[in-house]
Amino acid sequence: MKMKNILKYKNIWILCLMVALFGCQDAIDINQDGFLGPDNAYNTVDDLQSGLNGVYARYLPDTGGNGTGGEIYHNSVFTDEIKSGIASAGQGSQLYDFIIDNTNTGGASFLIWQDNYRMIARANRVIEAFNVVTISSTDMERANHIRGQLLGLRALGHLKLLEYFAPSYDDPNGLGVINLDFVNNVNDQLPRNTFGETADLIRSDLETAQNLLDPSQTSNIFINVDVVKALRTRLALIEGDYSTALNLSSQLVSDYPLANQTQYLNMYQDTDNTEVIFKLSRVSGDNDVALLYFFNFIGPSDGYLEVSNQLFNELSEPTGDIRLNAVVSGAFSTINGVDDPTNVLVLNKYPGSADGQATNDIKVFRSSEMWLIKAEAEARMGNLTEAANSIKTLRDARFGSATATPNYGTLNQALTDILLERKKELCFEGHRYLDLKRLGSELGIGINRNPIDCASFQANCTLPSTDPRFTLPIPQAELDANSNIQVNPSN
Amino acid sequence: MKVKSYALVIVLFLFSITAIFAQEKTITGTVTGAADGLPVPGVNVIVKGTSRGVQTDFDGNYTIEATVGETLVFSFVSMKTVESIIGSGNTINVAMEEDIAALDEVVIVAYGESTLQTNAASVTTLKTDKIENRANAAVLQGLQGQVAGVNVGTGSGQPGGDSNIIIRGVGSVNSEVEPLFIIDGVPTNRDNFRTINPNDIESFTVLKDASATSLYGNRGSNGVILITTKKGKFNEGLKFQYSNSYGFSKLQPQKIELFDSAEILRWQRDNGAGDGVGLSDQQIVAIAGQTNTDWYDVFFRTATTMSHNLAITSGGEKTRNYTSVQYAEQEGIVANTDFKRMSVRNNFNGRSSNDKLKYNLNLAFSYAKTNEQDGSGSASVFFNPFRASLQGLPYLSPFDPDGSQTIDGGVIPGQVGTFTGANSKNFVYVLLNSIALNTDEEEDVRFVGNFDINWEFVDNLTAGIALGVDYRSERRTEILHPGSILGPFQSEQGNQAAFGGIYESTDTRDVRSTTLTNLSYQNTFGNKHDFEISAFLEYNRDFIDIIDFDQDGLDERFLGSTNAFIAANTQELIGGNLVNPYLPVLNAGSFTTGLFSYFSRASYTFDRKYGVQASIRRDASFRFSEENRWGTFWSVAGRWNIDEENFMENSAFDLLKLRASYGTVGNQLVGTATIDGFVLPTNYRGLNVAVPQIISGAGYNSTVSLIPNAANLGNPDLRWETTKSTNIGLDFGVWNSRFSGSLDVYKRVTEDLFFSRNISLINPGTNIDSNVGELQNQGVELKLDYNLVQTEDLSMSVGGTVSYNENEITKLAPETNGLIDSGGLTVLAEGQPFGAYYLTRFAGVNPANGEALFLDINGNITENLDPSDRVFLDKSSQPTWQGGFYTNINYKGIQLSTQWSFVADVYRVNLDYAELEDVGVGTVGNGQNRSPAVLNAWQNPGDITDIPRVGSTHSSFSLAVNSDRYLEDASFLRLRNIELAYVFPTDYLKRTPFTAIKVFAQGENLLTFTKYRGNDPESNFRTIDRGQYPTSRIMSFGTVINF
Repeated sequence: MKMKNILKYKNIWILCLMVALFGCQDAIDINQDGFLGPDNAYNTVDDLQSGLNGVYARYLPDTGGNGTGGEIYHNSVFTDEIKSGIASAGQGSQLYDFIIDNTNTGGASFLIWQDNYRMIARANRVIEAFNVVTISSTDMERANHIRGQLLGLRALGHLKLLEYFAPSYDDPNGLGVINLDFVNNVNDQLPRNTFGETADLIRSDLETAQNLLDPSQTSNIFINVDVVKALRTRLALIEGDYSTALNLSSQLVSDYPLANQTQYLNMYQDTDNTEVIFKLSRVSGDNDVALLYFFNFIGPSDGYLEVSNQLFNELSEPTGDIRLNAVVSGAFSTINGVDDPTNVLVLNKYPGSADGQATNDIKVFRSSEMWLIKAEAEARMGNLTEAANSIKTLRDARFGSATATPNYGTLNQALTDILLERKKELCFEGHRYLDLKRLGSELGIGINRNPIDCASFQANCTLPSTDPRFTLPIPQAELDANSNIQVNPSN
Repeated sequence: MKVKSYALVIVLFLFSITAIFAQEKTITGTVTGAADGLPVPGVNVIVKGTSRGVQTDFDGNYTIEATVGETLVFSFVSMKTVESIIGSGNTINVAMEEDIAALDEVVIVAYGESTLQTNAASVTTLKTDKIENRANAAVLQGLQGQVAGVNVGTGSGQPGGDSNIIIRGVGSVNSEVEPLFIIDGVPTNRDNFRTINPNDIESFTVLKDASATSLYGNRGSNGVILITTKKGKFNEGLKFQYSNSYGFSKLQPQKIELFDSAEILRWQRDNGAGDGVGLSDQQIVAIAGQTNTDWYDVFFRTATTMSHNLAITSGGEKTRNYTSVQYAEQEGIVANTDFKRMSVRNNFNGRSSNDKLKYNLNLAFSYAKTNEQDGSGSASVFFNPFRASLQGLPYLSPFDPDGSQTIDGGVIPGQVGTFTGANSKNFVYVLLNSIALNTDEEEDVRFVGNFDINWEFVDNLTAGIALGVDYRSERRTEILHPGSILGPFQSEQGNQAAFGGIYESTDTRDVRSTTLTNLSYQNTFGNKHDFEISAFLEYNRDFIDIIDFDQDGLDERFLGSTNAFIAANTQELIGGNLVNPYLPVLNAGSFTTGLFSYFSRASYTFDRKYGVQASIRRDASFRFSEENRWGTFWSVAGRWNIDEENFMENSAFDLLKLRASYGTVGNQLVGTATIDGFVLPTNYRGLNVAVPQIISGAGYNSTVSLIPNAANLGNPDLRWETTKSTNIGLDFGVWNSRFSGSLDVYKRVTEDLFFSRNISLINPGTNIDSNVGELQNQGVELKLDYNLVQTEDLSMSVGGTVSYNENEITKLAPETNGLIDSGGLTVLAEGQPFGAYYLTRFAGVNPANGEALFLDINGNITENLDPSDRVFLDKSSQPTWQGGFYTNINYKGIQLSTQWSFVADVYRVNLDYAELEDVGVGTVGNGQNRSPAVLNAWQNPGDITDIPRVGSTHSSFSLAVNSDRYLEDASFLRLRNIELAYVFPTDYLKRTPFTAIKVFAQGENLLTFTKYRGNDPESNFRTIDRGQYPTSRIMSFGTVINF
């Protein structure tokens, strides 16, 4: 072969080799079309808003259905709000019998822990994305408002976790929950912080949020300055900071009047917002809250869980309480007599809305709760008269006429009455279990069901206020994957 | 080089001087092949003990100068060497026989070639003449039992269906377990073999140990199968080979006994449920006299197969060519299932005048169309004809009143009450209806092409480049006919909408490309030291895109045209609301993968006796984070050809070779291949495993949101799975290789097994993919071939393979406590093999009350069927023994060959059988037929039987999936293929244009020996049989004509 040819061929080989070498990088750095990672997902303030939409979407106190459920379901079934319904196939019988199974991925231990941490984890990822998004000065106000909402939601998540999983609210050095204010490594196994540390994180998030939020944004289906205020009120209450609780609740009750009787019923149809400080918007396609109690929708024979006779009796006496109509459906219920085992007491708090026959917004903070907190703070600060007046204000609105001022001789009397009033006012909205945990343990009031109600499940009727089951156990899935997590005391 | 040339001249000169003194003469002759009588060009004819030699020409003729008393040696690749002493004559004609295990035969190995003599790796080559002209369209099924250590599991009798292939045991749990397939250097999709014409394949080469596969780096851990297609021959005239085959296929004999009409009606009556209740004996006899349907005969048919194949070869001095066209058809034994393939191929090879430059171009194109029945294995009684053929009640008539076979049994489309409900028996009609009316069709267009060129540009130094592409497009069309019984139920609105039916079409384009450049140096020093080193650079890119649409709501009058699709904006008043029932669903996606690698191989051989080789490969896999991207895989191997030692001289051994290897290989195909709802081919597994993904989700208050993907949190620490493999082998051949074989012992340890691991719930998801766990396979493989008789008229040979593999999971993630129970029949557990059954032990029937009894965890009898009593049963869904054997007899052109295969120590739950024994409470009138075994049910206290009381607590389904009641030994021995052929003697053909004619008759799967009570013991290693498409028996006849 001639030298010239060899040289010519050599060039071809070199060319081939170079093509191969330079072509190589695109075989190593491959990104799939449409694949977004943390580095390229967030580019604009709109992207941050989009992230925020996903954080809200993960706050799910109403999750569950057909015998499983998180916060609202647990508060109803574990306590004295419900009895077995006409359509029951045994839904809720275990939980009603005070069995809290921390391995059950459809139970409160797992769901409240997981859902709130997932919301927090989502919030942290969006908060972190603020570091990579360039925000123009014109966008700054909007970006701040987004960040404020993210911090508010992170505080809400931590507060929920603290309420359910902290064994005691009284000891700042006792067990809190894992403070998650950063994007963790997926392999992290984090221990719990103390109650005080978690409370401090919530407080600091809320304070920062308060400063970032745009006061002109007042929609009650999003975190706004008033929602942050309500969160601070609730935190102050469980921490025992009653002066703050009183101060903040007083501000809120003056800004949010109580609903009259018509408005009150309309509120549960999602057509009135007079006393709603914060509610979760639920639209077609979201979890249907009524399906925690019904197979399909409110109806005379569709409920597998019904209002307990005990609660029905409490709301019936004295007469005229609009809350009876709000809780028990007059149209669908069958009442055969006081404590008659054949009573069909159809729940009316989730009657459906324009968004769906089983769909209702989830009320998180209402003015009435602030009145109850105000009353409790007043009582605890020694002002039993003002406490009685606060309760009267609430009752006047619910009865639609002036009611007698309650007479509180002692703090204990006041708190006992407030606990009952909370049950009547806030039942089926995810409060009863926490109220018994916080107030019941102090007052020595446990669960004491009407025998007709517990007979409907052939379950135990009573649970003493000292029972450790008023604190949720850490879910087994967390214990399995996290060797550093501390368990809660159990019996 | 000059010194060498001079030496040669001197040697030649010396020899020529000696020759002068001898009595030299000219010998001429023709060399032909013993099998076909055709001239063999290119045979080396050498005077023994000299360097005088010539080659036969195009017509097999040669001329050589030699002296009386000298010996001529005729040798040719893959033929037995013939020696002939020169006597008085001047003509020596030789008929050469094929060599069964020719030592110098080329063995294809990773990125190169070797020979049986020199290869140190565990490699098995299977020539396809052993599976040629089979009527089965799926070529890989023919491999079963033919290569030691290769387990071919065929799970479906669907024509053109895929097989699962496992080499040396399951090497992964959650990642790819099947080998890499390479056709003529092009990595290819193994799940689409139906588009390959089996008659184009020259050989399969199975690379098993690390020394053989390590050069494939991160793709080699499950072994590699190299497929080489046929080539023409240099210096050969134009030749045609035409072959055809016709045949028919039938179901395996039905082994499960069923009740006839009278029997099931009586049983129903006696047990107080179903249609038999209240009937008198006379009424029952009357019904049975009228209708006694064997639903097997209704659902299954005798199907036909057919193929035509034409291959044209030609070769000049420097070029050669192979061209083939094929058309093949195979009907399935279920109506409306079939397979058709058309393929063309051209393989061209050329070389320069000095043979220093060589190039090859292979092009293959094919089109295949498959009509499938994809309900097999389905739990839904309305979509699985195979269950219905067992469970259909015999007193239901398969005929319409006019006597023709019904396609609806009078069931009216959309009338839900007529065929649903707990005890409905009309499911057989629904299935007949679906089979008759619905469409499930796949069309494949496949193009595989590769080009390579190699140039020895300086002596001993060769450079080359190879380019390859495998293009495949597939369209799947599924039409659920709007006029079918199920048609009206398909819209979002149930059967409320005016139009039913679904039209779904999925188009996939899958392109794989590969580029390989190499530089090799090879030389021999001092006649004894052979040295070779090669360096390679490889670049792979694969691309796939998919588009899919679903339309609910079809107007059957216009089916086949666009008018059939009801417009999306059509509104109907349903349930009081105005809704849009006909919204189409659209999906599209594209995905890509790549791999960049460089690697090197070196080998050294001393005097043919000893050889060592080593390889190293660096792979950059984009799948993993930048820190974990580059993987290094290496291997070393050595051999000792004991037969070459002096002390072995005059022994019977032609070959006695000891070899050993150790090396590492990787498996980058970790995790799932289901991405964004698309089920991708397995080479697209694990595309986004290292990076957390942000996806679009439903946001709060009817918004769109960006959220972390809970199912893909990304693990930056993730790596490929690594397999460390040790192999010791022995190859031998004695008595001129009439008896030959190989023995291999191996151990493969797979580390960093890919598992989903539970993480703290504070994350956006509950699991991440992680490298935890370890498993190992160890085993023995034996292959033997024995040429019993080899005379001119009669030849007989036998042989076979057997392999034993022991699989054990040695390590799982610590939080699993050594056991992962995903709720199936099997669990993953440390110390147990993959696929270990974990069930409660059935302990017969309580003689006192007829309830099923079980053993609890402590071995005590209990009536409770409790998951906590499950134990390991020392039974697995993966066989430990497998193999096969063959016999060949050829007497004067009459050839009889058989090929058997077997697997043993493999278990499967026989749910098909179980459901025919159902005596659980409330099941008597469930609309399903029974086996006469239920007559043995417990009746009175004291009865000893294995069938519980009719109406007892546990359904047979529950017994099948929770206890070992129906866990059966699925070992089998199967006559995979038998062929009787006659090759016409060449003398007969002399006055015809034909050079060879062969006629043959073949049978596939004709005989099966098994204890398994289901339709088919063969499977793809699944754990449960629930109405699977059984493999069929195929009988075919054909001819092969050369001209």
